[in-house]
Parts: sequence; structure tokens; C-alpha cells
Amino acid sequence: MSQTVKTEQDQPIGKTFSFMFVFKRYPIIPALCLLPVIICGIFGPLFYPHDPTMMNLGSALKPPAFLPGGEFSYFLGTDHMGRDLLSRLIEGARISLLISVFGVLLSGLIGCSLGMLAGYMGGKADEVIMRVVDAQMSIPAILLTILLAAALGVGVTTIIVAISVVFWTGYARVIRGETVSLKQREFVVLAKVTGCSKARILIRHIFPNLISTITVLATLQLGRAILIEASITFLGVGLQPPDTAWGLMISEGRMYMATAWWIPTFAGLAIMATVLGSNLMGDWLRDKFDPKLRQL
Amino acid sequence: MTQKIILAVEGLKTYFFTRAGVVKAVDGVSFSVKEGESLGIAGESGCGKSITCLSIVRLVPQPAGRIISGKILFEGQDLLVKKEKEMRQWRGKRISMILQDPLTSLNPCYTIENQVSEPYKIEGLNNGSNNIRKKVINVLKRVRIPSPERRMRDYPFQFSGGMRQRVLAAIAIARDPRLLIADEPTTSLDVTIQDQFLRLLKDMQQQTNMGLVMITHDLGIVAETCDRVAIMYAGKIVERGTVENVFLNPAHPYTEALMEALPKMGSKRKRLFQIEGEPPNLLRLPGGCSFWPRCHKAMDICQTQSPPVISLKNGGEASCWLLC
Repeated sequence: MSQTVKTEQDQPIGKTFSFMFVFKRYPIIPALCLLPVIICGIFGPLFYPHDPTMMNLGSALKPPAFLPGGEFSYFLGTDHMGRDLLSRLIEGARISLLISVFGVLLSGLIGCSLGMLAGYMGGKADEVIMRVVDAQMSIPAILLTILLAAALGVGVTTIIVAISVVFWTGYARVIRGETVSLKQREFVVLAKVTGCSKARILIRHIFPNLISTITVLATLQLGRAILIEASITFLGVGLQPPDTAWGLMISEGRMYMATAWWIPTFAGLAIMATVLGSNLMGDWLRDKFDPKLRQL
Repeated sequence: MTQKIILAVEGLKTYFFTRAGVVKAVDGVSFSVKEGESLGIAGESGCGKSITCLSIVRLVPQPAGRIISGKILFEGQDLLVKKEKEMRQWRGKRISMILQDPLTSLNPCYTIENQVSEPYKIEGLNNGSNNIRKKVINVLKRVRIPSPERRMRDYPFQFSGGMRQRVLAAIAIARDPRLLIADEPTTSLDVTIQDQFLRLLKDMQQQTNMGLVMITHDLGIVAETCDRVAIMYAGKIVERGTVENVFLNPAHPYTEALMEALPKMGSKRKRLFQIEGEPPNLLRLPGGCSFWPRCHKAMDICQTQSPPVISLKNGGEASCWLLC
């Protein structure tokens, strides 16, 4: 190519190097929200300043370091039992991440398989699966989770199972719709003509075309899962005291709102940042997978 | 030289049961294809050409569509009584199909190599991926894709329309089928590419001596590539015979009108002949012969009774009361 030829690609929007351009291209804000949570979740035990469950009533209700009376070693202050809030936040990230990731994976597995089945088979299978979805969607998610948690007994596994049972419907509905439109595409007809079996068509030809949708959905669901976990823990049917969870911190700190606002506030901020981050990441991924916006 | 008949369709009826009524998409169609022979099925859009093809491979859109009666004898065996599982083993291996739209017929997620190797994988060819790769390169060479070793790593969007149609042809002939059905293979290609592709089809047919059913609405393509032709109108075959006979001495008024409507070289430019009216609504077919409302030779009997199939002197067949 000669230097004189300048195609349009040489000077995209990026020539006027704007912040918007960078934000569109790289998921900076979502990463800023999510990365600390992920790092804390995986490597937390390596660097928390105190044992998150160790009580020390002598230093109870200490304010954060930047307020008068705060100590630097308890950077975000302590709760009513004298436990270090920063350490508890880091430990809470582990639990939240564990529950939301496995909840989203499990519900995705159930929802996507059933959605693909309903969409591809049509007829009776479709009717049955989608009516179950409709029925379940009419029950409020929180109510159903509480019921399940109460029936199965409290614990991390229970919450994961409850979240999966509540969330699979969201996947099933979207994936069914996508599958219905994909199965009418010519390449599926070609696969049939070539002699593919139904299972082969579903796994090899339809599933890969769904991956982008599933990824976006999963990211969006991640935030919802964290919120649900925090909500039911706050309501008292989720995780129980020896465990550390953000919902639990808010629930315990509620009584001290007036005197020690920092106990529920930092946990609330952590939840907000994570949910916001995963929602923004979902939006960014959706734009990224959309071929019309991919050029940006 | 007597050639074996590969495919014989007898009295095939495929109906669609819709809320508005029964659509007789294919209504008693009979034809046959011999080894190494190419049959053109021509007609207006909506006359049942594609559904005839889909019926042969038993892929009529479910649940509305159903094959009501008839026989599809492929190498002497009736495909309509076969189980779905058995049928699946025949698709691709014995009967292959080239679809209409090369732009959407390839899965955008996979490389060309991946998709062309699929027929071999289905066959259960498991002696090493190298072996399959060799076969893929070979078949891509047969459909004349330049430097297949390099191009097969590309994705469909990196191929042009003509090239993609060749890839589809490669997938279709991968397992050396005895019968190839091409459903308007050239409608989305421009004329020069059309010509190349039709030549390629002809060459492949001569190499392997397979039967070819070419579905098209372009009579030029029929004239160029086919040995025999069947003209369809409203789900029925109105005339069939060798291409020469049908084109030079059309017996049925519809065929005659079609030939009249073709632009001719050399003749003085004037308005082209036009068949008055529209193709009939398959839900409300006129009584008697389906063509009579548009036929300028229509008689009283045409409106009440459907015409019998008449054998012509030149070996063809046509169904029209005029010939009685």
C-alpha cells in the first residue's frame, strides 16, 4: 500500500483520542468493579490483615482509619464483636463469588439444555418446558429461594441449588427463542441433508451460535445471583453467623446504623460495586458480540 | 446403452395442513432419473418444486407438511417406508442436496475445513485427522477451489458467494452420492459465476455418473445443463420430455407460453409475451385444470375436469385436454 492511500480504517473514531472511545473498546469500569472482588475471592486468605472471624471485644465498634478514633491496622473499622471489617469484606467476596459463579453455571447448564431442547424439538416438549418456565416465573424469585432454603436447610450448597432452580428459567426462555430462530437457518437444513443426527445438530451446529448469548446472560445473572444471596442472607435464611458474607454483615450491622454506620455501609458498597460491575460487563460483552458494533 | 433408473417418483402427494385449509403443494407428481442423467424441474415460484425435493429426502417441514401418498423408489427401494434412522444414513451418502442460498447455508462458527470434514466424520471415518484432511483437500480440489490447503482454514465470511456455493457442492459430493439434488443452486450468483458453477456440476456428474435433479425457474439453465425437463404448475407436472422436444415443440399451452415469454436474440425488440393473471392460490385451486383461468386455449371441459396424462409421439408426456 502506498502512503497516500488512506482508507477509512486508518482514521477511525480513535483519531480524536477520546475517553468514550477507550471506554467502549475496553471494559475499564466493569473491570475496576469486578477485579478486586475476583482477586479477593481467589487469593483472599493470603493477604487479609486479621482473621475475619476472630472476635476482640476490646476493640469493638472502632471507626475506620480515616475517622477520629480509628486505627490504621483496622482500616475500615471493626464491628460490634471487634472483628476487622476489611478482612470480613475480603472473606465475604469469596463466599459471594463461590455462590454466584456456581449458581450461574449450574442454572446455565439446566436452563440452556432445556431451552435448546424446547426450541429444537418444538411440539409437546416445548409446551411442557415453557409452561413450567411460565409458572415458575410467576413466583417471586426471593420467595422461591426462601422456600427452597427453608426446605433444604441452610448452607452454601443449598443457596447454590436454590439460585440454580430460580435462575434456569431466564436462560431457558432466551435460549429457546434463539434456538427457534437458529433451527430455521439454512445451515441447519444443510446439516440435516448431510445426514446429521438431532443431537449432533444441537451440539455442533446450534450450540456454538448460542455461546455469545449465553455469555452475556451469565454475566448479567452473576450480579443478580450475588444480590439474591445477599438478600436471603440478610433475611436470615441464607448463611449463618460463623460464616462470613456480605448480606450477613449488613444484617448484623443494621442495629448499629446510627452509631457505627461503617458496618453495613462497606458491605453494601461491595455488593453494589459487584452487581454494577457484572451488569456493565454484560452490557459491554453484548456490544462486543454484536457484529454491528464490533467495529468500534 | 441402457442406464439404470436411480430415482423413480410415482404419484407423490405432499400436502400442508394449515389453519386456512389444505395446501396441495405437490399433487401427484411422477418422474424418474437415470444414472448420469440430469433432469430439470422448472416452474414458477410456489409451484412445488422445492417441496418435491424435500419430499425425496423426507425433510418436508413438520408438523404442517405431510407426504400423503405416492412412492419414491431410490434404487428400487421405497424411501417413504423407511425409518427415520435408516433415512438419515442415506442422506448425504446416497442422496445429496445443494441448497439455494450459499450465503446462509454454512455455519458461521466453523472453518471451511471443519464443515467439509463433517460428512466424513458422520460416516465414522476415524483413521486419523490427517486422513480426513487429505480427503477434504481432495474434495475441495474437485470443486476447483484454488489452494485449498490454505483456504480451508478460512471462515465462511471470508469466502465469496460463488466460492461458498462450491464449498456446498463439496459437502454434497463428499461421500459420492448416487443422486444429487440441486435446489436453485445458482439463484444468488451472478451470471458468469452461474456459468462456472453449472459447468462444474456437469463435470462432476460426468466423473461419477450420478443422477442430477436440477430445480430452477430459469429455463436457460435447463436448456444448458439438463437432458430432460419436467414443467411444474400448481403442484402438478404439466409436461415432461427431453429438453429439445419440450423447448422446440411444447405441447402444453403453459409450456408454450413460457417459451413465448423468453426474450429472443435477433428478433425485433418488442414487449415480451406475458402470461396473464397470477399463479393460483394453492388453497383455492380452480376446478378442472389448474391452468385454465390463464390459458387462452381453454375449453369448457378444462373448467370441470382435470386433464389426463397423454403420451406424446416424441416420447414425452403432457396433460392437457387439447391433446386428446
